[in-house]
Amino acid sequence: MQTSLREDILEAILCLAGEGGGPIPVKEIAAQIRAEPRNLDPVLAEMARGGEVTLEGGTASLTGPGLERARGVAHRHQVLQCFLSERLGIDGTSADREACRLEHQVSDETIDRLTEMMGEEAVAGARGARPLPEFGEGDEVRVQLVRGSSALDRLLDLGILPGEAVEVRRTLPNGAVVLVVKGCDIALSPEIAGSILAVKRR
Amino acid sequence: MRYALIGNPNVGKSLIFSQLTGLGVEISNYPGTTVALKSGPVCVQREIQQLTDLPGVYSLAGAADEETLVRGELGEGRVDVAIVVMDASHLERNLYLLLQVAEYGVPLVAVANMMDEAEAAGLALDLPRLGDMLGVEVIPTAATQARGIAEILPAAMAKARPPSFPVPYDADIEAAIRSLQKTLGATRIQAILALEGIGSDPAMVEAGKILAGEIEPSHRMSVHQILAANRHHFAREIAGKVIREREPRRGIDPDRLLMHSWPGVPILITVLVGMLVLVFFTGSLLERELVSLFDQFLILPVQAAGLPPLAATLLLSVLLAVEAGLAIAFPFVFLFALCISALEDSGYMGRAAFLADRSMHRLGLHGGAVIPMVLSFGCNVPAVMAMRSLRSRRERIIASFLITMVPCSARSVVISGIVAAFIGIPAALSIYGIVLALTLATGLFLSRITPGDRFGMILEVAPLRRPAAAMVLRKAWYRVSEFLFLAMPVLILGSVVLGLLSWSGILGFFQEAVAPVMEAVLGLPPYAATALVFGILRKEMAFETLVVLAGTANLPSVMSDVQLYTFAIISTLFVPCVSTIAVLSRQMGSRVALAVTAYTVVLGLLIGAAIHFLAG
Repeated sequence: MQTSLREDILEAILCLAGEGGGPIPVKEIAAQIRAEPRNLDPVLAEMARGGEVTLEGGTASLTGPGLERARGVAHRHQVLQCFLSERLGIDGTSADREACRLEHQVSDETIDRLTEMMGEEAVAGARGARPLPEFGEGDEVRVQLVRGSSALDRLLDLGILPGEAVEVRRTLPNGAVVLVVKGCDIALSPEIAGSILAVKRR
Repeated sequence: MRYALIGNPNVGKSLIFSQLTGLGVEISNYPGTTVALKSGPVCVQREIQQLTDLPGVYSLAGAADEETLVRGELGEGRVDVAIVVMDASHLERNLYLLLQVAEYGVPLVAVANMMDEAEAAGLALDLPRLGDMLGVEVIPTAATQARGIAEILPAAMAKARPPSFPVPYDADIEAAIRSLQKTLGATRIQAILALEGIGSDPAMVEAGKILAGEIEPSHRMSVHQILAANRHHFAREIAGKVIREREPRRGIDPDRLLMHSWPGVPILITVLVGMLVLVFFTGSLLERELVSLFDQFLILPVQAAGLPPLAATLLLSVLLAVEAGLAIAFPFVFLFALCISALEDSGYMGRAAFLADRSMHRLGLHGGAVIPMVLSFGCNVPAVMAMRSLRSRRERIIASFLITMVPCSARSVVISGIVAAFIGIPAALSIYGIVLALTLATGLFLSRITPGDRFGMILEVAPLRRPAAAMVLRKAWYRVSEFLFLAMPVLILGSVVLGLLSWSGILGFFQEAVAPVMEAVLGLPPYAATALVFGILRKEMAFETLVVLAGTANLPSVMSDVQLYTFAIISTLFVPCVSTIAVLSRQMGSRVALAVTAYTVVLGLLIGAAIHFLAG
């Protein structure tokens, strides 16, 4: 079984479902990685046996270890893409394609060195992550990075952490934001909203 | 047996508490914190048990006062049965806290409150399945309709059990927990806390810190983040299996109006000013009636009774203090508490805080401070008590100064009685202008020099609800009784001391001593000093004493306009009243109370002198 296909599947589920890990219809996973659904079924069955996903009525969701592995793949992708586009000047689409190929072979050490070289923020920024106040009302976004200190532990308690899917409900001209997180409205001061980087969900 | 209610803020814990205990509420203050614990007796199967309403928290992992307190209650075995109250319409978020409480191994039952709202939102919850997954009893309730409340205590008595659903943490975290358990003999909860840097055993915390330091680099996350992510993931998994359907939000959304600068800010100003005007006018009317009744039936008869001078002085002092307390408490504090409780229960305060956040930042505070600041226009005492909601000591110190400078309704009585009546409305408004400008300047200055961390605002905005009249009344009554309980003894003591000073002639001596200063620096007659001193007891008394000592209610016949203006501004600025000082020193310590008092005295005298030399 190809490692790269398995990793692509894990990455696709994480991308579609966020930190919740699913469940996601197999059809959507196939569309995300541009593959035929029937080609995925044997791979998914194998992965279910390996304890990375659980299958239920034509959907797949990530288990704890699966989620962990998916996060690793997604992180490698981000770092590589950032390096290729920001440092080497390769255009966005090509960098994305290239990162897709490299992400399966690259070692953790290389990734760590690259991250250190570019800084976490640059990595998130290269993926199109922007501070929350730059989004518009009604935008559905996914949190990428929360900058700052332990003073922001309250954000963790409320569920505002990397990977979480949230909705920007209100913005004020000064940069204050109201987010919908897990169905609750959370008001944030401008400086706190500005320290949260997110990308738009499709 | 001691039962405790635990839950997120705003899940209806207090309502459930008051429904279970009735009116038998005791307030206790815990040493070392400013968080009040409410507890009361409840009857379970013909036995009296103690029920405590723990402060609302989102998590047990933080360093905030409330979190430390709840952690202590659970960890040190002071709670025999935990009743975890959850908001059924936001189950996933509330499960996060339940999972943390479960780690303490205290027998518990879960209450899924607000079932009515969950149903209205189109959610179907499979509570029996939730109970099976968690291994604990889950009781559906709707506290606003008193539905299910009666089942809570019997279930807590008979069916509470230690939960058996540990959060599956990340492999590295689990390994660290096992290693702490093995090497130092920690329990699972002690090990988890040690990784979070919490614990009473320094060796354990140190070991936790080292293990955390090994885990963090490879995860690119802090241990706090990893634990939180694992708990949220588990909570989502559970919620996903229990919540069956969900219809999207629909209908008109009043927040479109309330939470945008336009028209949100004008609405906010209208609400606040409207409330102040309402309370001030109704309050002063009621106060006048109350004071005249008191004078007519108690004070005048005592004065006329011909008691020996010392006894008369003592009795009158006590009566004056009771009068002062009641005259503030009922007309102003109670009316204000009614308005504020209604606003709080409606959920509007969250919106106000969001809109006011930016202006509050300039003063070194954040949006949450809008509540105590607004309260302070009514009376400084409940405002100081409301400062508990501010997160850092830095913010509470700044707020202490600003709150005590805001002209409360008692000071408004002085301004309207002296300046508006004898000089004119524009002059009265100019006093408000000067005092507010000084308050803002103080805030700007303090926000630069006060040490401590700055926090931004992270505030949950509760859905708008129609406040329940009974709950609003109960809350207002609770606030008034807290005020009376705190302020009355201090008022009586202060009044007796002042009475004795005046009886023994020390006050007269003081008046003589400060007379040169009063005349040369402030341009005021000597007896104004005595009037100002009495103003410390209750701000309106500065006005009343002045009238008595001047020997006429027609003040312009004995004092010039500039003198009246100076007197009014000094008594508005200088020294918060005795009750405020008392609450302040209880909440913040005597040093802050002393600093605030000294600052306001100096400021009042400086401004008074400035006016005297500029205009006199």
